[in-house]
Parts: sequence; structure tokens; C-alpha cells
Amino acid sequence: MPHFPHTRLVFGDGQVLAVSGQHFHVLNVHTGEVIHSTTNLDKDALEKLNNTGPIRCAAVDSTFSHAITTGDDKKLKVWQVRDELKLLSERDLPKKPTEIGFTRDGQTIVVSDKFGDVFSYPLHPDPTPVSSTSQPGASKRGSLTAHENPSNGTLILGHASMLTSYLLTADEQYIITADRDEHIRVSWFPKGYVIERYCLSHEKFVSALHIPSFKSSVLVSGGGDPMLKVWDWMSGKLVSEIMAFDAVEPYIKVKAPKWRKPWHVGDGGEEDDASESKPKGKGRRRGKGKKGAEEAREHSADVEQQQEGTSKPAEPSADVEMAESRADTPATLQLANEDSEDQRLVFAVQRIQSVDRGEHGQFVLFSAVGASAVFYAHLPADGEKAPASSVRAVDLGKPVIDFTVGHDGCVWVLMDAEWGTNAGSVVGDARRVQILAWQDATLSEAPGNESPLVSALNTKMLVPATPAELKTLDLYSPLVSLPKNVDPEHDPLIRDTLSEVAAVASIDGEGKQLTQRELGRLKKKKALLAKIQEQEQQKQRSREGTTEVEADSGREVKRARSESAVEGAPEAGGGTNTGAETRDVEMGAS
Amino acid sequence: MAKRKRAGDDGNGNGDGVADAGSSKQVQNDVLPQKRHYRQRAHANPFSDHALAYPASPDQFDWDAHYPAFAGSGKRPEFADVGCGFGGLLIALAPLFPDTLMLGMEIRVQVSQYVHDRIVALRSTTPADPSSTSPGPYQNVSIVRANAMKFMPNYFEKHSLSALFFLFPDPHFKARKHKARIISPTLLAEYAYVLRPGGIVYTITDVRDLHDWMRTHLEQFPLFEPVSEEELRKEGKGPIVDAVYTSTEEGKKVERNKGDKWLACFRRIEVSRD
Repeated sequence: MPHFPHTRLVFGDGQVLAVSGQHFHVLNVHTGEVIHSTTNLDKDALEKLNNTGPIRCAAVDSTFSHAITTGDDKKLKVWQVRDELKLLSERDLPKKPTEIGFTRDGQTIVVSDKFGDVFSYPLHPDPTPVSSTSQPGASKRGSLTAHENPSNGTLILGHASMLTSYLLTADEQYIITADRDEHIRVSWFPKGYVIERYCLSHEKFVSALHIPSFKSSVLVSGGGDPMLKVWDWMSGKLVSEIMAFDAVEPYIKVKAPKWRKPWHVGDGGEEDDASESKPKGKGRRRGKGKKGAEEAREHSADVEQQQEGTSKPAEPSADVEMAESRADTPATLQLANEDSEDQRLVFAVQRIQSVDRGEHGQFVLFSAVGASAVFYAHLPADGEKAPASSVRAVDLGKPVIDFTVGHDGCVWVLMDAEWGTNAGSVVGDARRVQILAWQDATLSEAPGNESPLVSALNTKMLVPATPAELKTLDLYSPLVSLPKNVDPEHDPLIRDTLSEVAAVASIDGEGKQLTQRELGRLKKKKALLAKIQEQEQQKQRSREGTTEVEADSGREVKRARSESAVEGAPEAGGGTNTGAETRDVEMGAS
Repeated sequence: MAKRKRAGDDGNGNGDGVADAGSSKQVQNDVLPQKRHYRQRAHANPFSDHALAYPASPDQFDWDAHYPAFAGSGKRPEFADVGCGFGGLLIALAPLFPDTLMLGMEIRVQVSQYVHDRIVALRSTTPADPSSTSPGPYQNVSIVRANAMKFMPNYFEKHSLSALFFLFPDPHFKARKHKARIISPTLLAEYAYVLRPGGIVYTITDVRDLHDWMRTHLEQFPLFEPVSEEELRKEGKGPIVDAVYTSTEEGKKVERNKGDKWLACFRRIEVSRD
């Protein structure tokens, strides 16, 4: 019988909260003794839990009085975990959350979601919801509602991109948010409408944020870029980098499937035109979208069948539209164990933490989605670019799901023990949890350190799962949902107006038919080019001896020609061709 | 609106700003791009991943390539026209503020290409005003193909803009599409970030619902206060207001159809921490 891996550990006050599938347990850190577990709830409560799908986000307040969890059902649950385990409230969230947490006083819950918004909620739902006036527009019902807000949350801020993570600064004066479109935003908290700063220079999605407790002026961020970035977040200045990718690459066990076909997104193409030689954009895109969806449905069909009757996880809601438009993954992915030809390597930083080892230095620890090790490096000095050789790895053999730094600096690692095996064939001693301990400046598997908690988590606290349930868990979906799904070759903005004229010859040579419209544009451009040349000649004639202008214009045309030759080549760097726009506008033609 | 937005199907393919540009219409028509050669669907989903090229941050952008006549001056755009369409406003404002850099942002490929080609043509064929000390005509306007809902801060530094234009934006009539409107409580925070205190947001539309939407959200946003048309005219911004009303293709179309236009302008203000 396969079991759910533990997907999250939250420490505090001598206790730990461990998440497995749709359940969580609270254990004593020292004795491993079980204090609470949702598996011990009464039958009705259990049945309800089975319908929510796995817990995706969980948090505990600083005094370990309350825990919050969210599953795939977009419900925010507040649990009492002191004395007695009790579900206190359940609130609908507008979108699927990506991160949840408490403010330090434990009275406010902050939730970031896939639509890109951050809402805050009071710990206990207001029994008589009064529409608050502090949130611009959000509380009003009707034609002016910009945001769905079923539980009357306070809208703090929003990005027009999927929000991957947020952080409150130590003084809780600022909230730092990261999104899939490379942004890190620093806003006031709770007045999130005032943006203090952006920390910009990431060229791929940002998926993890961390502020070291021992250096609160510093923010460490990571995502799809090959390096972690260290910022002075108040000024937005990039202070140092840790080259991570080369160190991580050998450990990346789980790869993402190749895009079936890049969707012909967004650009819309042109309207129907009899002379149009390419298929029109709309039809093509629609076709692909549908096909993708159908394939996804096929993949998940078995899952759905098995779940029918017992459960209805993840109602396909309004999110779907958003998800689709974001290329946000078919629901079920076949990630592991596919032949390598269909896979591509995706680097996505999962979590960043830090440890101050005093005289041995200050360390940044991180994990990557689907990689089988925990990585660590010294926090680089300002201005330093720490090379990948400075990053060390502790290999655990199985993909690391998450890790948590305990109070003593020990690192608790959660592993996907079932990975790479046929479901159910995992032998009893498979490690799901492992402690790493420090020796001076080296982190390694603690020898003989069989803490009661570890053995409890590895043996006692296992929640059985069906293969279908494990599939729903979809641990590696960020590998698909985070990178952009665009065809890098499809950037039809012609950067150089006059180059088109020069390009005609080569296009004709390939026998490609030009549309009426393209011909029309070319005619105008030819006329423009002729006019410019004529003007240049006039100028030259009038200014005898000044040959510079002529030379310039000649060069211009030549440049135009060479650029048009390059244009067919795919642009490097995938979706985010930063800096590629340097040649964008060639307007110096006079 | 959706239908009306379709470019160039009015048969009047020539650039709408040409007449405003004033000089030598016949000569320019020979070389100016024609809208009917750049037709495109009116909508682009702002939430999807477009194959866009954009800078990671404003200082990584090659501004000199866009404003070669201002190269080395360190000048950055002060006016931004979000969803500039066929560029009518930029072309109208360019001669009025020859030393102010302006940037249009347009997500549709064909349309942004049109504006680009148009600026290239105007720059190289408009005779320079001999009395002016500014760089040549239309050197101060440019266009990027960009998704302003996502990438505004990639182009503009904090408090770098003095004017932000939202002229006849896509109304997204259906309630479930309202979230795609260019004015929303959350996006306003980004606009406030790029606008300097005192800077003006100009909005205009021929759709009453959208006007109410934009006005309400801007009024409720703590960093903006309404400013009346009279006030703006008193401050010498009359020519801008006039251009907002009449210079765009959409504005002209509404006029031809004798429709109403609703203007709403707001000033960026500052708030205290507490």
C-alpha cells in the first residue's frame, strides 16, 4: 500500500505540524509523541476531509495555538491545535492560494493566490460581515466588483501575474511579493497600494523568497534563473549572487515533459484574408488548446473515475480560464519515468532558508523542485558573485519535497520516497524524513541521530494513499506551470522597418507567397527608403565634402539587410529575451 | 466597441494623425504606412504568455535606440500612452512637447508595427522646423510592443512619469472579463508607482459603464484625487486634453458617430505611512 509523503513540516513551541496528503499531525518534537492528528477525527469530519484533496498550504501561528490549511477546494480552514484539535472555521477563497501565513500576533491571515492577489483575513470570520470601506472597490458588489471576494477579505495588493510567494518583513511594515513574470515587489503593509520598490533583474520566474533572521535588510530570491540573488530589498539594489544551477543540475531527478506544442498564444494573427497563406491564428490556437485539454482529460480520466463517488476534488472553477491562459498545466502530469526524449530540464528553486553558524559563517540553504539534494553556500559578501563551486549538496537519493530548519539549525528534509518505484512497492524502511546536522561548516546526514520524531514520521504517521491520490498530489507541477509556454520563434514584431524591403528578395527566393497586405506594406516602405535615399543625396549635394551622411545611410541599409537575415533564426533564451530589444527600433534613419 | 475597434475597415486607411501633423499631407501619404495593411483582431489576452521582449528593469533598456536624437541626454519617457493603438495621441502630442519623451505601449503585434513604421516614416520625411532648437520632428515619440498590465515597472522607474494615458481602452463588457480591464484596484498601485506625485492620469471612453468603472476605482484609490478639466486647462494642459478628446482614431470615430465621450482625470497624491 503506498503512502502519502510528508509535504510540509512546521516547527514551533516544542511541537511540529506535519502534512501528509489531506491530513496533518501535530507531534512533540522531542519524544515524537502524537499530540493531534486529523486521522483521529470522527467519521463525518474524516469524510469531509477526504473531499478536499491534499493540503497545499499550511501554517501555524507563533504560539502554536492555531493552524491554517488550504487544499484544492479553495477553502481556508482555521484549526485549533492547542489542547484539542478542532476545526474552527472554513472560508471560501476567491482563487487557489499559493502561500498562506499569520502575522506575528496571530490575529491576521495573509493569503496570496494564483490570480496574483494578496488578501488578508481576520483569524476568526466576522459573524456579521459589514462591507469594509478600506479596500478600494473590492467590497462593493455588482458592476464595479473588480475582485471576487467571497469571504470579505481585505485586498492588500495584486499582480497581473501568478503570485508565487510572499514574505512579511521582520517589522511587518512591508510585504514582499514575487510573481511568475520575474517581478519582486516591495509594498507597504498593510497599505499594499503603496509600492515602495521593485527588485528587478530576474529573467525567469521567481518562486522562492527568504529574509535571513540574522540579516533582515537582505532578501534572497530564486526561481528559474541559474543564480540566487541577494538584494538590499529596501533600495532594490542587487548586492550579490550565488550561482546555483551548475551545482544543482546533476541532482535534478524529475524533468518536465516537453511542451506538446507551444501554443500559438496571444498574438492573434490577422483577420480572414483569402490571400493569407498561413493558417489563421485564431483557429490554430483554438485547435491546439482543445487538443491539449483533451489529452489532459485522457490522462486524468482514470483518476477521476476512481475518485468519483467518494470525492470531488478541485472543482473546475473560474480558475480554469486563467489557468489555461497562463499555460497553467494540464491537471495531471506524467512527469516521472517517461523516456528522456520527451523531457526537458527545468530548474525551479523551491525553498530558500538560512542558518547562522556563528564563527563558521552564515549559510543560505535551498532546494529545487525535483532535485534529490539540499544545497547550501555561504551568504556571499556584498558585490560577490559566488561561483557554483561554492555551492555544496547533501544528496538524499530521492527528490526533496521540502525542508525546514529546526531551532538548533538542524535541517529536516522531506523526501518523495515513492518516487521512481512502482506504486506500493516501497519497502518499509523507506525514508521520508531525514535530519541533516552541522559539523562546523559542513552539513551532512546526522549519523545515528535517530530522533524519536524522525522514526515516528517515517513509520507511524503514514497516511495510506491510492495511486490515483498520489497522482493528484502532483508534487512537481511547478516544473510545468512556472516556465512560460511561448514559442520563442514566434515574435513577429519586425524590429527593423526598412529591413523588410531588403528581405523581400530572400523570401521570394524561397517561393513564399506574400499576402496583399504584406505587399502593400512593402510598397510603402520601398517608397520611404527611396525617399530617404533621395533626401540623403540632396543633402550630400548641397553639402559638398560632407560624405559622412551618405556613409551612414549606406551602413543603415546594410545593417538592415544583415538583421533581416538573422531574423529567421530562433531567438535564444526562450520566453524572456531580455535585452533583445536593443535593436528594437531602428529609427535613426535620418 | 469590439467591432468598431477593428482597425482600418473604415476604408480610410491613412494615418489619422497626418492631418494633425500639418505639413505636406500629399507627400507624406506616399510613404506613410496604411492601416489596412496592419489589420488585426482587436483583442489580446493580457494574462497569457505572449512572445514579448522586454527589459528586466528600466535601466537595462536601450532608450537611445528608441530616441536616437536624445542619445546620451539621460532623458527618459515622461508620458506613457497605455494601449496606444494606432498612435494618434503620440503623433499629436509630439510637436507640442518636442523636448518631452513619450512612449506608447501596445500589445497587438500588427498595430504596434504600424505605429513603429509610422514613426520611422514621419521622422525621416517631416521637414524640421527651422525655428526650433529641439531635435528633429517626432524624435521624442516611440513605441514598444508590451503588456502594460504586467510589465509597466520593467520600463518606467519609480515616479518617472508625469502623464499616463488610458484612451478608449478595451471595455471588456462581460462581468467575468472585468478583471482584464486596464484599470483595477490592484493595477492602480503600479500606475501610482510609475507616476510622480502631481502627475496626471487621463482616461477617456465612449462606454458609460467603463467610465463609471474607471472613475470609481480611481476615486476610491488612496493615491489619486480627481482633477477637473477646467483645472487642467488652467494649468496649461488644455492642448493635452484636446488631444485626448480628438487625436485618436477611436476619438474621431466616436465623433463621426456623434457619440458621447467621458473624460476623467486624476492627480497622483502622496499619503503618509500612518
